[in-house]
Amino acid sequence: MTGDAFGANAEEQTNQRAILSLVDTRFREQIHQTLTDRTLTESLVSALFYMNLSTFLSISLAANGLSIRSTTIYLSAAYSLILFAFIMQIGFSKFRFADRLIKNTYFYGLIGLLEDATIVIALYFNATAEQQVIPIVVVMCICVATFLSLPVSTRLFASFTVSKSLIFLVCITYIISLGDEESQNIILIFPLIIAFVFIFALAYWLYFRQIKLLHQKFEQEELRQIIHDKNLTLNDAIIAEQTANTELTQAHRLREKIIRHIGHDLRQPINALNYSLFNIDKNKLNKDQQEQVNIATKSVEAANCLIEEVLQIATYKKTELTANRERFKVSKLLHIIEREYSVAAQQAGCDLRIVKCGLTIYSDFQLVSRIVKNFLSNAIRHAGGAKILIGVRRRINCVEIQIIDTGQGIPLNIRDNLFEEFVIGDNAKNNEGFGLGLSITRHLAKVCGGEVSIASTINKGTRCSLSLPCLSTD
Amino acid sequence: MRFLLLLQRSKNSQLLIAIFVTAILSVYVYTLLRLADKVLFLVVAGYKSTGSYELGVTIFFLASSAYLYLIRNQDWSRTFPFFSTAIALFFPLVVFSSILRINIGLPESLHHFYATDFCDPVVNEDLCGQALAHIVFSMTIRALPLVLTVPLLYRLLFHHLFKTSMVASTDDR
Repeated sequence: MTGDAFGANAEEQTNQRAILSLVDTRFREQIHQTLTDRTLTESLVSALFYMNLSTFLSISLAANGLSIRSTTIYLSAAYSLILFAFIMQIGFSKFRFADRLIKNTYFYGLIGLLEDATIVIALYFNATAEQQVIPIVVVMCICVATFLSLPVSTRLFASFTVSKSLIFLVCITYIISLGDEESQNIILIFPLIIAFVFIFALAYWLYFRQIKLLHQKFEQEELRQIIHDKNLTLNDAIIAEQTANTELTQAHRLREKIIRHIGHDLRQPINALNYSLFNIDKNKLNKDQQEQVNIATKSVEAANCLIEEVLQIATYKKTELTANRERFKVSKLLHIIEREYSVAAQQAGCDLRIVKCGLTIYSDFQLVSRIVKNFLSNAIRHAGGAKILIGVRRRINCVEIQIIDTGQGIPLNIRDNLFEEFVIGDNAKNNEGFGLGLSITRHLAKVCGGEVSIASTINKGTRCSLSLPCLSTD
Repeated sequence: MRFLLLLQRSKNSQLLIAIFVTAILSVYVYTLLRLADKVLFLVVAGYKSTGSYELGVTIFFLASSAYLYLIRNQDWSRTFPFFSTAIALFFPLVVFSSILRINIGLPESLHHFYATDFCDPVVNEDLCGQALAHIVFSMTIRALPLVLTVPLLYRLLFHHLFKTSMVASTDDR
C-alpha cells in the first residue's frame, strides 16, 4: 500500500468514526437538524403510525390476558403522549421554548420512554386484576412492536435505544423475579434477548446508514457550492483577463502606430539634413567647421540608426518572421563580422579577436549574423578600450557563439530585465540607442530556434551567448 | 342527471353534495356490513357478530358529512392525506368504540356469550381482555372491506359526478 493510499484509508476510517459519533463531523449541526426537523406530513404519519402500533400492542396484550381496564389506561396514556408530541410539533414550533424542546433529541426520547412506561403502569394495574397477562408474552409483544417501529424510531437512535432497552429490562427483571413459578418463561428469556439484540443491531445499521447518507448529501452540497464559487471566480478572472488582453492589444496597436508615425516623420527631415551635409563642400571649410560637419554627419547617422531600430522592433512584433535555414560555416560568418567591425573596434580602442572555428550550422545566416553583430556592436559601444573575443563552443545539443568583453560590465539593477524593451543602463545613457537591440536579438534568436543569454560581472566584463540547435555539424 | 345539476346549482351545493354522497355511501356501508356478517359467520369459525349497525351507520353518516364538507372547503386537490388519515385512524377508532360498547351498551346476549366463552364469570363479573380482543377482531375483519372500498368510492363519486361543481368551487376561491 502506498503512503497516499494508506493516508486516504486512514482518513476514511476517521471520517467513519466521526460520522458514527456525530461529534467530529463537519456537518454535525445540519445532520442533527435534519433528524429533528419534521414536516407536517412526517409528523402526521409518525403520530398515526405510533397510534396504530400502540393499539396493536394493547390488543395483543389483551388477547393474552391484559384486562380491559389496563388496556384502556395504556391506550389513553399512549394516545395522549402521541397527540402531545404531534401538537407540539405542528402547533408550537413558533414559540422559542417549544421549538428548542422539539429540536432536542431527548424530547423524543422522553416521549418514547413515557409511552413505554405506560405499559409498565398498565401491567401494574393488571397485576391487581384476577386474570393476568403472561410476562413473557409482554416481552414478545414489545419485541415485535420495537421491530415494527424500526423505520420511524431509528431516526433518533439514542432515544430509541434508551426507551426500548429500559422497557425490555423492566420486563426481563419482572420475569426473573417470578423465579421458579414461571420456569417456562425463564427458558424463553435467552432467545428473546437474542432477538432484541438483533433488533438493535438492525436499528444501529439503519441509523448508521441514514447518518452516512446524510453526511454524503451534505458533503456533495458543499462540493457543489465550492465548484459554483470557483466557477464564479474563474469566470471573473476570465472576464478580467479578456478585458486586460483587449486593452493590451489596443495599447500595442497605438504604440505601433505612434512609432511608425514618428519613424516616418523623423526620417524626412533627417534625410534632408543628411543630404545637405553630404552636399557641403568640405574643402571650402576650415578645420573646425569640417569637424563640426563630421560631428553633425555622425549624429545624423546615429539618429537614422535609432529610427531604424524603432521601426524594426515595430515590424518584428507585428509580422511573423520565419527563418530561412541553410547550412553555413561559422567561420564564414565570423570572417564577415571581423571584416565589418575591425575598423570600428579599432576606432573605439578595442582589441577584437576572433577564434577560428570549423563547425557548420543549420540556421538562418542573416538572422544569426544580425544577432552576433548586435552583441558585438554593444560590446564596442559600451566597453571602449577593452578586449573583445568572439568564439564558438560545441555543447551537447547545440552550438554556442560567445562574444566576451573585458569592459565595465552590466549594472545589477538592469540585469534581470535586459531583454525587455527600452531598458538602458546608467553608463549607456550618454550613448545612442533606445534599449531595443537586445529585445530584437531575443526575438530573432527565438525565430532561429535558439536562445540568447548574458552573464556579466562588474568591472570584469560581459559574456553574451547565442545557442543554436546543432542539427548538423562537421 | 337533472337532480345532480340542481344540486350543483344550489346555494348550499357544497353541503348538499356532501350529504348526498354520504347518504349513498351510508346505504353501501349498511349493506356491506350485513353481507360481511353473513359471509364471515359461514366462513370464519368462532366469528360472532356484534350486532346492531344503526348507531354505527348514523355516526358514520354524520361524521362523514361533516368531514367531507370540511375537506371540500379546504382544498379539493389534497384529499389524499385526508382519506389516508381516515384509514390510519380506523384501527384505533375500532378499539376505542369496542371499549365503549363493552362499558356502555353491549347487548345482554353478547355479554353472556363473551363472559362464558372467553372469560371466567366466577372470577370476574366484567369482561376480560380476551373478549375485547375478540370484539376488536370481529369488528375489524367485518369492516375491512369497507375501509378498502369506501375511500375509493368517495373519490370516484367526486371525480365523476361532481367534477363541474368541483372546478367551479375551486375557481371561486
